[in-house]
Amino acid sequence: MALSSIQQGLIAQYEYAKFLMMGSGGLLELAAPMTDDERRDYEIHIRGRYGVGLASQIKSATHLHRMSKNVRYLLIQFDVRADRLINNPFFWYFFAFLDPKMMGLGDPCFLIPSTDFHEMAAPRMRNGVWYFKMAASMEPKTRDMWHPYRVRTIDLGERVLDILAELKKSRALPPSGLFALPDVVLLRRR
Amino acid sequence: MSPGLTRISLVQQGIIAQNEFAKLLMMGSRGLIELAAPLTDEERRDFEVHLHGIFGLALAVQVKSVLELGDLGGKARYLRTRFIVRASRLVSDPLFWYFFAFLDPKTMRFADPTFLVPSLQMHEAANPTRRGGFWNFTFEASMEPGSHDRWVPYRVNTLDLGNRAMAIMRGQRLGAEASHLLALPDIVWVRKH
Repeated sequence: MALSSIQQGLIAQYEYAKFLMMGSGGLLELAAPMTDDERRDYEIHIRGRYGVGLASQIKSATHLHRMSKNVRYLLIQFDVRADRLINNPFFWYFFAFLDPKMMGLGDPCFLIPSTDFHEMAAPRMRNGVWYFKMAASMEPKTRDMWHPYRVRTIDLGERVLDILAELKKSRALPPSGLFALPDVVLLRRR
Repeated sequence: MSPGLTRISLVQQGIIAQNEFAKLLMMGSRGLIELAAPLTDEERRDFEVHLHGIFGLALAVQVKSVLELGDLGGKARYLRTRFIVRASRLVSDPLFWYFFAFLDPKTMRFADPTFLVPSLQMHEAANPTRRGGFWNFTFEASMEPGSHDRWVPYRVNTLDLGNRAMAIMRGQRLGAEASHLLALPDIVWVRKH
């Protein structure tokens, strides 16, 4: 008997949550949505802060492919109904190899913004469904297109803290109370 | 913000330890073990564990973890944890087990060995003291490979947890099946002296 896809999915989610919580020294909090209608596995925020949350979708594989002699690849394919595809700076994919021997995630794993992923993962549309294929080298010295998104498992917490800090800066808005004041005009640079 | 400034909360630690235990059981049994978390925690069970497709026999497990090891004044590293149980809620049952592990903050996983201890042995051997309506227990187990302390029989390496849990459940199942024989009519028991 092998792990069922449900068990595999759950374990990958546990691992991701563990590395985020422990790797951030407990600063990151994760919440699992009650329904999965929006393809978010977790909503992630910094403890005690409101307003900026990262949504993550987690994908894993339990074996690696040898696409050439000495190079092991993480190969993950999936499809998404076109009307459910989300391109948003706050929506990220996490891809990892769930190593059956070590019973844990192998290094490296990949944290990729949804917009980048949807452009780079060989997208094909058929009958209203997008098909994506990610083939990323797991070798230490590789420089393939997924290289910039590599993260070691023990660095995941800090990486997500950095992402949240960058997103907060890019989203900096004046306090919403200002809009309620009379005669306030909001000017914005293009 | 430096993550080194904070540490995970007790709630986070508890969830991580439970999830890690569930992962090792599922993966170590190649998917044969199923776990269920009770909706309420009134009976001190973190998980009900059963073999896929088998009904009527489940192991209940309470998961305990520590984030650091002690040395008790010597060189040997010890997993030490204390806990209190209301006397009216103490469960000593062959199907109720404790799991103890060191959740290593550096590697972010359980270190070897971990300990899977039957509740009966645990409640007898873990320095039980009663104060009023509560039992106090102190579990103190050496993590050193050459140790010969009382908890050695219950040591399990993380990668062997699935197999150990399956062996325990199969053992319990054989016992349960044998006990059904007692209910059959006209059975005579013959025993060697």
